[in-house]
Amino acid sequence: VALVLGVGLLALELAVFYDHLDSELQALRSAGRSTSSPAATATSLTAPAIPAPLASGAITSVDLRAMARCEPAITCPSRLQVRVRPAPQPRRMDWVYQVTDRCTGRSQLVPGGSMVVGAGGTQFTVVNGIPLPAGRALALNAVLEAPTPAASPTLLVPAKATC
Amino acid sequence: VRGSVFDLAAVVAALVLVGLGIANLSVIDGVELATRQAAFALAGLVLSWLLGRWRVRLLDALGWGCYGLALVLLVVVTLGGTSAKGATRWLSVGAFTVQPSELAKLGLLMALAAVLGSPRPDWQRFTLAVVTALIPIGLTLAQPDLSTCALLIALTVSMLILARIPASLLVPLLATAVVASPLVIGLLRPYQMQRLGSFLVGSHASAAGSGWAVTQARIAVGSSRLIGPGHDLTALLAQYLPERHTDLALASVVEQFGLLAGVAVLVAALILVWRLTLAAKIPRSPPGALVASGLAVLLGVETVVSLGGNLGLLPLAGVPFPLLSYGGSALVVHLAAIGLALGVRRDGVRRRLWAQHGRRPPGWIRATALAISVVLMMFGSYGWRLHANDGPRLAAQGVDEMTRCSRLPAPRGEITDRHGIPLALSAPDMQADVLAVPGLLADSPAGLTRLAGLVGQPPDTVRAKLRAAPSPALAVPVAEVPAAAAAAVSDASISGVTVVARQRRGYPTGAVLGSLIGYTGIATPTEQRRWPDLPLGEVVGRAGLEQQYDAVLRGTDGSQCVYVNPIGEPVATGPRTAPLPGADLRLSIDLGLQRILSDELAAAMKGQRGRIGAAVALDPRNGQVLALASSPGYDDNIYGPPADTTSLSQLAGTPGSPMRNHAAQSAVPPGSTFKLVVATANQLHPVWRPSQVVPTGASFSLGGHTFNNWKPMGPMNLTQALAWSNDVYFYKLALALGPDAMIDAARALGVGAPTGIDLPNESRGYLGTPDSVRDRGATWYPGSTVIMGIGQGYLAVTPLQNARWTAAVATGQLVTPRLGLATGTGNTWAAVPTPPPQLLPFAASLAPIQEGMRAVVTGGTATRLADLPAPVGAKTGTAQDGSLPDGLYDNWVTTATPVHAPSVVITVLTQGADAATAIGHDALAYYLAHKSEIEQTGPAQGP
Repeated sequence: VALVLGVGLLALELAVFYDHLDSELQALRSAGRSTSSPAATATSLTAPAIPAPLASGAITSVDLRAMARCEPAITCPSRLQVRVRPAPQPRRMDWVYQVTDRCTGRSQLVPGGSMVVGAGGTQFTVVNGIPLPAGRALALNAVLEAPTPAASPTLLVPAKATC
Repeated sequence: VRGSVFDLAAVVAALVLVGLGIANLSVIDGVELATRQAAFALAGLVLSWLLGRWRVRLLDALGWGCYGLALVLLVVVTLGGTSAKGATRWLSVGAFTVQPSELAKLGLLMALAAVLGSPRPDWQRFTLAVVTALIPIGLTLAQPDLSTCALLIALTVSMLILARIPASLLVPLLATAVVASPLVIGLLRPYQMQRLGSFLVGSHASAAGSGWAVTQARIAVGSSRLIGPGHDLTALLAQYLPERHTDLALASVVEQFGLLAGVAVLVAALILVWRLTLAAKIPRSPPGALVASGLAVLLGVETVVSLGGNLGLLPLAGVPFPLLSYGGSALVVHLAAIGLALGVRRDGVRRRLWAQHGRRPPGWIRATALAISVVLMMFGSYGWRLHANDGPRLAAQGVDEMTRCSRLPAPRGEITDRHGIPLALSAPDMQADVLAVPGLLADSPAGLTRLAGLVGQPPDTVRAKLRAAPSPALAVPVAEVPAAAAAAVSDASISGVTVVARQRRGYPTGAVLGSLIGYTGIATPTEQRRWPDLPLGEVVGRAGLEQQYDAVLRGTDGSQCVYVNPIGEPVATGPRTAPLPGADLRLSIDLGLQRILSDELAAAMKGQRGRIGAAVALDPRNGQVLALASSPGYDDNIYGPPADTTSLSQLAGTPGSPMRNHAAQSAVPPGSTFKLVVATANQLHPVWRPSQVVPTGASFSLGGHTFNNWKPMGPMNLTQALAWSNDVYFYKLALALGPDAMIDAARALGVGAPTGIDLPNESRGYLGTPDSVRDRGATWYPGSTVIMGIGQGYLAVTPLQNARWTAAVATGQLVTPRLGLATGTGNTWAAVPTPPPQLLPFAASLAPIQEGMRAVVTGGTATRLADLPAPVGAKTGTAQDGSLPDGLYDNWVTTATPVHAPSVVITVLTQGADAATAIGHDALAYYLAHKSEIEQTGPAQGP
């Protein structure tokens, strides 16, 4: 009897004070959420995992940069710069581009190219056009396949996107 | 259960907690606070020993005495206590502060034990217990101290259950509590709202306040090692942990002494809970058993709430960890309570034969202790997994939040001509800024004196600059020094001092290539939109090739970091990342040919204020642009930095748009040079045979309107008409072709569309059609078709477009002009990809036009070019331009040589000045004299 009475009272309370309780709960949540918190702004997508280490072996860094404002479904003019430790022999470097749709999580590889870094050379820089698939939010990585796997930090296209 | 009189395990567990708490205070706050806590611990142990020997039969008296004292102190606090964070909870007694609500926990525990352990009927025990509890709860609520209040309520409910109060009495009470609980939100203080709210939304959504506290606690746990401090920066990181003495003491212990110290705390707490639980079976009287069991539950609840708060699993309720957290009152009271509970246990062991007959042990105590243990182990397991799975990320987050970095600008790559001659480079007289971190350098008088000597300033001057900086300052400019002094400062490696090389872009060729190379400057919102990841204040290319190839030329900035304390003051030098210079860009431009065209153009246009001139030299085989001159021009060195403001304001007032590269960005009527396109239209959509002789004359009439020839001429075929630029021939041909055929050929030759050259803001020119003209509200008359035949009317082209169609007619393929040849440094260069030339489908039919171009030179309007040492094909043009006064024209010449297999196309435009052919002549002469040197360039790989 006491239990039924208690549940009844609770139901009555909710019926009478619902709006009041709801506004207090809202106030409680907004008090806990700081004004500059990410949740207060637009939802942003996370970047996919980088497919290889940022440096490995002779590769000290891989950097991919858009030369102009890039959009999905067009060819993105880009600059790839790979820095290497100098070596007495010329070395061949092969790379591809990984394009990930951040909305679906699907990745595809786009052909890149290959370069030979001359003896004692410390870097190569190439200008490429990367054909981008359609999509609302893409992530690009240049991925060195040879001589050792290494990848660039992610380039987001567009920089701010939602799915 | 009945073991030895002395409960060693419980005592050791309590001492472990007290000892770790004091050690934590010692490490994070020095000896003073630790000594103070140790004194309280000693007092607590003495009191514990005394209460452990208190006669059990006087337990009720002790309980009511303690309860009464707590009530008196709570009333005194309410009347005149010390306030903090909006609550009045403390009494100041000399150098100490006392928190009576802590004493209320012990008083209530003992008073409830006395009431509930009495032999009265259940309803009396229940009523008295509720009334006894309501008084201290109400007084604590008035402070307000909601966390203690909640603990007192939990203690009361636990004691009622432990004392076996029937459900018929308990359930209505609990139901009332459930009904009333939603209304409690209105009683919460703002900081309590924030704590509870941030728990509900999660710490990720609450970057400040308690969300910050929970984040810091997780960083402390995540970045710890198994044993010992997590890393070298633990002492600094500890400053970021709020409430590290009290509410987050457990996280602090883990941060300072390792994860195993946290495990030790948890095990000690579990031992205490279980020893007190087991002790509850032994006392001779129900009040004694209730004291032990109630204390077990109280300690267990406090431990669960505190551990959960430290890990972000429960709201950070402001409940200190029992015996571990700083707080004299809490420590003394908890030790006293433990002493009392162990005392009644001791009494039960020693006098078991005197136990009250028929007594029943507290109900649910083992189940409660088991539940508390399970929760604690789950929480502990979560903490372990947090350390194992998220440890590296949390450690990095911890380092990141106390790291502030200043940018070290990367040197920009060079731009060279096709032979490696510098066209844009960092100025050799590079200056450098010496920056100092006040908080670090001010602590090192020797370093400050040394720096002052190296930069040639008195130490007091340097010191004054540091003091004048607003606090906290990451870097203060101390001096601007030449490169040699900068190197000396750098080599001295003075802590807190950074040398930043200035980016001073220099353009050795100045106005010769000003509008082509462009300039650099601090990124504006336009560049920020173009490259969204630019750091604030970054220097970028803002015009010309500097803009087009900015991604290649701009290096990767380095950084000099410092570690800051929570208020942002630098306290230690952090890592330095060296800047990585940008790559170099090799252009297709030949500086020699460029100088010829630029200089002659400038000379020819000297008297033509406000009018423009432009010239293009293009390799028709691959699109490489050998020269691209524009007049008027400007010296891009005036953009600095620092900018030459006087020259800039003069430049802004110069007519003729000197900032614009007129070869690619200005379009004017092409005049008779367009006859090459019209002739191509006849090959594409044949109406007349090239050999067909057409009567011409001095003029052509259509619809009552007369269109004049530039001089009277006789009948001519296509070659002759091109050679003499016979206007009447092309009036008639245009009319015969109709606008669509000419527009079709024009489009096929790239008219009315950007050429695709690698320069920003290229003009697409204008190619009107009957439809587009109608859409503009104008009318395409038959006369519009006629004058299109001589390159007038709805038509405007850039010199680059003109050169491109000339190349297409001469070679049969349409190229995309390219300025960038290769990128790289040292011995590794990559060719800039160029769209391959497009073979024109009508290439085989262009021979008559090529013959006409040759005839222009051998016996037509450009015989001046006949003295050159290679066969030249050409077309001249003199176009009326509405922007020019009567009698002045757009003068054109467009040439290709050697005419049957051309390796260069040169197109010149001069507005007003009749100098195009002369400039073209000199440029061709230079080219032919230096052809083999011009064509040479360094090797580049195709990526």
